[in-house]
Amino acid sequence: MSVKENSAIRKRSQLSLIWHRLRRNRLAMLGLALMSAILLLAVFADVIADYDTKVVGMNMAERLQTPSAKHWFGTDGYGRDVFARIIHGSRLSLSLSIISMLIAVAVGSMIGAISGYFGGRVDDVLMRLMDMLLAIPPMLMSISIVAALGRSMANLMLALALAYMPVFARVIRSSILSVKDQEFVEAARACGTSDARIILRHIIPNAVGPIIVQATLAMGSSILTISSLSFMGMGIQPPQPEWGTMLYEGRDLIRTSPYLVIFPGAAIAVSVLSLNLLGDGLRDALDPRLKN
Amino acid sequence: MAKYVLKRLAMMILVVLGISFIVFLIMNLTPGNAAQMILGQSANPEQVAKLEAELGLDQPFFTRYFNFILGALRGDFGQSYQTRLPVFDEILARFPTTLCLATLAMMLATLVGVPVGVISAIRQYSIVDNVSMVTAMLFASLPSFVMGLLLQLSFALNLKWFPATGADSLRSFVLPAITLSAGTMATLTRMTRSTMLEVIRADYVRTARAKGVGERQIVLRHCLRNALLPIVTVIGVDFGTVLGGSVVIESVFALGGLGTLLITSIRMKDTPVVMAAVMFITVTYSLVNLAVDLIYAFIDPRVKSQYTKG
Amino acid sequence: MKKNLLKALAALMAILLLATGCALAEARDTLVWAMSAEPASLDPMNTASMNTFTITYALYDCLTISDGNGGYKPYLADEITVSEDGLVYTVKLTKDVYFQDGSKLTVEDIKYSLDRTIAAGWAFDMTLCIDEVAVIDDTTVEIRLNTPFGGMMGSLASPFFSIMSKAYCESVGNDAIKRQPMGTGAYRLTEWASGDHITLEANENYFAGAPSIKTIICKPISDKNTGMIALQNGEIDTFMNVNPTDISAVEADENLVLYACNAASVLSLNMNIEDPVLSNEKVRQAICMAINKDDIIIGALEGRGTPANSAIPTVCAGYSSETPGTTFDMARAKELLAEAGYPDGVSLKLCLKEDTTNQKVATVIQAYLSMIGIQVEIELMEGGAYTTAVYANGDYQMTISSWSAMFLDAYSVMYSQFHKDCYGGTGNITHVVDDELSGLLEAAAKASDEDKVAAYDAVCANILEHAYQLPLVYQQTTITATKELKGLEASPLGCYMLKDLSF
Repeated sequence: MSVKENSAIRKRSQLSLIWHRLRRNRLAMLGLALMSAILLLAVFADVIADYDTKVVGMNMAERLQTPSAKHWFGTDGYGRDVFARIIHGSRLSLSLSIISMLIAVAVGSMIGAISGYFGGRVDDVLMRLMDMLLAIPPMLMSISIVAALGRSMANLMLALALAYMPVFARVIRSSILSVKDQEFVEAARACGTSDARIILRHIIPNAVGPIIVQATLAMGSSILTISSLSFMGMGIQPPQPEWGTMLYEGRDLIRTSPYLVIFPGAAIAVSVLSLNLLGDGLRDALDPRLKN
Repeated sequence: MAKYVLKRLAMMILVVLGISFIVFLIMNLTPGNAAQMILGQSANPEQVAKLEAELGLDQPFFTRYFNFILGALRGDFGQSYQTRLPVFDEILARFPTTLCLATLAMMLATLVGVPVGVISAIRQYSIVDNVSMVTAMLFASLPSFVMGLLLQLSFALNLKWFPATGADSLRSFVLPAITLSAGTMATLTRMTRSTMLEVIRADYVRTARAKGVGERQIVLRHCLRNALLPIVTVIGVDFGTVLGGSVVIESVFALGGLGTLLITSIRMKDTPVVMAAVMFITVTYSLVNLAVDLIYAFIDPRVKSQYTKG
Repeated sequence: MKKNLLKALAALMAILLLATGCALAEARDTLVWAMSAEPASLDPMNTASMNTFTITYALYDCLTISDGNGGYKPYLADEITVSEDGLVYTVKLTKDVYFQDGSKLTVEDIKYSLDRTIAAGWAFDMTLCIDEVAVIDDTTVEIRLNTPFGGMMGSLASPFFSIMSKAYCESVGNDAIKRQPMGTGAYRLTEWASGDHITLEANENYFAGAPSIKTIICKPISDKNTGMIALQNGEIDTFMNVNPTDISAVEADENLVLYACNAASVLSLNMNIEDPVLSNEKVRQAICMAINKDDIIIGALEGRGTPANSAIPTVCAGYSSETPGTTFDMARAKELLAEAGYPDGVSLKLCLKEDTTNQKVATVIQAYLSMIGIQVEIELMEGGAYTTAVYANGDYQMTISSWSAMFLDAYSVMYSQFHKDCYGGTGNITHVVDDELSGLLEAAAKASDEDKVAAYDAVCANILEHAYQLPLVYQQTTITATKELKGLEASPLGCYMLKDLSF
């Protein structure tokens, strides 16, 4: 049996082991199920409700209707269907947080990997930079960036990515420090493998677990940050149906039409909750100390 | 130990300097002009130019930055462009509100989160455990401004237990502090529970139990003490989250703290105030984390020995 | 040790709770007045915020005051006479009025204050006609104009023309006036807790009699939901412009009274006629015909407001409901757009200053314009960036504005918005440089009260013909107060006389 096949088998069995552990955690499975459902709704949003007529199109004759068979979650102040807006809003909230997390993970991992692998002066400089970013609370950082640079989707993603990047840099750096001197890395180096290849092929895969856990949890908190930014009037441009913006608009009507706050609020809460449950479950499943 | 503290303080100065440069850069690169903002929409270009010269805005970028830093090192943060008052006074007037709010929220989160976490761990999978975990998760999943609004409607408007606005007394801090603490409380509960679970299974706990040590003793002496390290870390890190979150909470509860000052100053392009406010928050956060690191030494003798060596 | 700590904590809590209990007992000669934002400065000559002016009106007095029927009467001054040619205003000061520092008000103070107003430049459109202010003798000051100006008495009542003490201003300097104001007013400033409140105490030696309410605490509350809750909870006594959606709750609350009137401003859609697309008059006409104003009122303003027929606020002299306005005609709008050379539509940017109401209005406009093929992209801008883009650089396509009158005369909104001399930052963001329109505006400024409506009808007809601006809605301005508060009336300017209030 070649080495390659051997590692493939090991990998598969490890994955199945993690999956096995995850499946036994009921709360984590609930999170996974909810998240999958939300993702499915986001993917098939166009099939469920038409964007132009129901999500951004106005219909003053049907404004502020309470939930009914026709409008499951009622209609807002412009007669737009709240259910359709929430479904389409899931696209925005999820894609924004996923993309900004991807940027944060990519840039953060690179910085953490370089820092941890090379150590010394490089490590000092990069980590001090990360310390600077970490010393500003994430919410404050996002608010300042968006307030200063102006309100746009790109600035919002930049703000979120910048705020969460140092966390990933730290996670990767510490996992690298823990595997750097292990035999398989030394062996690779002895075979003449380049630094970049060692980092990418040998070290990063070993840090994937903690990164996934962190990213899942950070995605949840980034959804909350986006909605808070919308509340401060720095979120997504209308008439796009972002959940935080919907809450912001519905807040004025909370006494007369509470459903305008309840449903978008619930959408945020359910997504964040499912991400947190899943993240916690993954952490437990990946932790060998908690095997039983 | 003293050497370690000095080293950390030196590092903090470096970090604050770096941040000040980034903030100054952002404030200067972005559109909008402080003089125009002060004079309003109907000001003519000559008025704007005159005021710019008065504020020193016509000087080159680096000159302005170095002047600011030199002043700041002497404790002089300059004058606010808007009010023309010394920035330092303005910050000192606002800071207590924010610090009080953040500290109360942190205390609340710890006093509720840690005990609930411990109980959940001891009674793993019981009804208490499940209920408190789900509640904690829900708390952490609700946007803070929605929670604030709900608390205002129920506890201020309907029950009249607490005021909905202002910073007149401790009573008026109750609702904002609860709102602000929700996220951290949830994190602490979960963190305490999971570390306690780890520790409860440890060999020395089994040994203690075998020796016949009482359950109360085991939980408080042997488990909690060892679980404290990660808990204290979370408290340190989340202090930053709470400081950041107070920006939103202050505007919901109409509290005149550093957060509301910062937001209006960013909007009015009042660079000296923004710089000073960010530096204050950063220094507070860094000091809290330094304190947390020092507390480690008291909790964990191993860490203490490291400090004395280094 | 732990037990001791707990005891200490409990004791601390008890003390704090006791302290709060005491603070809550309040007598009813204190009014808690909510402001929409904290003033940056209390120098009335160097600001333009109605919110700030409510406070400065309490601290300072003006030569004239509104008589409550659309006219103005002398106040600090004992008598003001106008020469027959309308070029000289003679101000007489014979009574004894004292500043809060005990010094006596003199004609020198009046001249100093008026000169300071002119030099500050904030009341540009009102001071334009003033040639000089001259002291004649111990009781007489003359204001000499270069052209007759019908709005002079009204201007003198505006906060820009507050009367200050020459000696005080010269001794403390301009920066101190911002935070330590000192005037002849019914109240004096006793405390300014940054970000939290401003405290005013009654001036017992006020020349027109000490005010009835002894202490006024002004609190900044920017969030309208929070304001409403605080109001219902009795934490504040007044709140301006509650959310329209909360009005039914106010009406149902037996402790609250809502006062409403039309605002001295017009919510309008502004277009930049220097933009390549919008320089085409037909495009502008199409836009003006394509928007249903009723739906803006229903969708964005919860039914509070009336469709606007002209650019003049209803409460300003010179307004007439007969003035012809735009008509809503979707089919004609489409034709005009095709005639203009855009049969397949065009896309435009609508930039806005961050504001919930503006945003809602823009959402409706966006929906309507899309029906005639104009794709509107809404661009929300932070205050500083907005002012720079729209006012300073004039770099925008469309925006929503609501230019407020500073006194109740059409001149106050029209001249600065459409006269060629006010191009750009001074108010003419449409960038219309037209001699005919400017001439009409100058004539209207001189017009007597009887001819005012006709003169402004000509101005409005010109604006309508060239579709320079689309007036959308006359909004209401409201103030909600506890029912115990007497002497309150809604102010079209959003600026209140605190000295007239009582419990």
